[in-house]
Amino acid sequence: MDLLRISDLRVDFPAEAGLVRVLDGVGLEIKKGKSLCLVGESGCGKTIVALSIMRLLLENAYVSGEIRFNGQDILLLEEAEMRKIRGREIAMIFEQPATCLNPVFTVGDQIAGAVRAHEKCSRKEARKRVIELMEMVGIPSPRRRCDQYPHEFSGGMQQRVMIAIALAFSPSLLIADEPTTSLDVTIQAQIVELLKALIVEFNTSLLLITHDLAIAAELCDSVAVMYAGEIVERGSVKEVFKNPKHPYTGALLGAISSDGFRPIKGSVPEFIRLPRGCRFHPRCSLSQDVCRHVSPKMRNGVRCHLWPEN
Amino acid sequence: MRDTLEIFGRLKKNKMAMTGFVIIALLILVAILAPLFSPHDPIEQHLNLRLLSSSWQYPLGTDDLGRCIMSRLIYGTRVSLQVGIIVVGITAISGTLLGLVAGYSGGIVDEVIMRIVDVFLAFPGLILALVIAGFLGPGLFNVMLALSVVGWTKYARVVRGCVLSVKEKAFVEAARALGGGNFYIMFRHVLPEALPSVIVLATLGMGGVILSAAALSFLGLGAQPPMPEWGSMLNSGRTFLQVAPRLTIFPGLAIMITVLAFNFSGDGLRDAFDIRQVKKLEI
Repeated sequence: MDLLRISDLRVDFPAEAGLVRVLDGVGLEIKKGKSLCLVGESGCGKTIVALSIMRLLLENAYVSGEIRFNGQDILLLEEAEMRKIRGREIAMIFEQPATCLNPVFTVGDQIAGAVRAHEKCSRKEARKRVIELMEMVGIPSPRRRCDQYPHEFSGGMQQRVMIAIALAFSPSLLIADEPTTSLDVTIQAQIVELLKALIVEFNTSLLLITHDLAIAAELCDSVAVMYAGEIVERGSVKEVFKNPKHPYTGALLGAISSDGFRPIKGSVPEFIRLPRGCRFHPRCSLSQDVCRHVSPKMRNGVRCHLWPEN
Repeated sequence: MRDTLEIFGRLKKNKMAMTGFVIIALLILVAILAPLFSPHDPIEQHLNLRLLSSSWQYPLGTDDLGRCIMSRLIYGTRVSLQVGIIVVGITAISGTLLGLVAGYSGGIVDEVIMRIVDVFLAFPGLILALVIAGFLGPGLFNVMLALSVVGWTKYARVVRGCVLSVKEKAFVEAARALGGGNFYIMFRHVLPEALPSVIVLATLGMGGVILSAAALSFLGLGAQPPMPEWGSMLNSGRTFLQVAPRLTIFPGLAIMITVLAFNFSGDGLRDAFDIRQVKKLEI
């Protein structure tokens, strides 16, 4: 059974010009113990997907569709029930670890808070568990460092702390929203290795949101490519990265290649001025007449007119 | 813990604040051990010993009813500190809670609480307290009540402002993403950020409350005779200003020193908590 199955997720935000649809019919699924990567440029709705799963969108957002977690539709849950799922079942780590840690408490205190929310235990036991967790995420000399404040940690170490907090609950799904974007490249590699080891150890499924395709390839089993609020291509990492079907995926993969940068021309359209037809056609080198008028449907894991049916 | 030490270290360098703290500590000691320090019973009258000047037996002389001024001042410390602590306690706690709720929940709750605050702020505090105390009738309890009703607003405003800025920080959203409830977030993440401001306000507030209580007592609304209270001592000494200025000078000095001590301490705390200011000085 799928651990998480999102179908036909639509999110609208009220704006001056009326409702703006930022997610349009997003569907994806993650099996237990598997990992999925959501890739795409900035501003195409990746984080909105994550926040919809956590039910942390602003209150004025209109959400429709289904998000089934363990067969239960999250969108229908009461706030109190949802709170039991957040953290315990689905944990999330964010892009900026520095701002996600409370500056006025020691790191150990903050991990202990998560530990003690999960299981009732004495301060002493909690501290032992904190030190274990810190060791597990590779923070050196945890006994000393757990009494330090977040500002005494480097970015990579802060992200490790966030991971420790998230894993304190042993959640069945971990959502990592650009976990490595704010870190430098060598630290990125370490964090990726750590995540890779931990999701196996904790048997956690992973929803990774990134625009770094190398990290996606390293960490995930399957991939979903997003463009302007839609998923344009889905499939296993190997398949998609080897033979991209959608021109956008191809362009993304080609943007960083051994012979230099080849950026995709233009930028993601604004949600209040989406082009007619295929949303990618103004930037697509292969666009034809049909692309300008008819919106393509998802077929065989790709949303493109040009991909031949079988 | 280390941060606390750091703040204390900064505080220690501030001579004014340290003087303030020492004076406050002495005042508290005097208040607790009043029977030990005072040479006489503060309300015992000796009509044959009226308006004496200082002597070994009566270090600050006697008042118009032959009571020892020194003893009355010492017992007056009890009354003033009690009023200060009770009123500041009530106003700080209620103001902080209301500000926390207003800032955190936003919307209509925020609007209602803050408009009530605006209404209270529209009146000058002492005048409003005067009206309330006058309405309830004279007495120390009513004065405390009146000052509490007037005083909570500034805590509510400051805490609300703090909450509004903390609420938007990423760690609050992260806490929510990890399943933190509203109460948990309010008390564990938001309140600690507002606490330094509340401590500073409360220390400064002590001075203000003691002064206001003395003022209301001076006007006859607070402590009733024969209770030894600085404000009412000032009032009863007023008639003898020309023959025995001691009667007003010493209670006046007591009020001044106490209020200044609290103000210096409050200012010192504010500087010690405010990291930005310290950084500026170091550059």
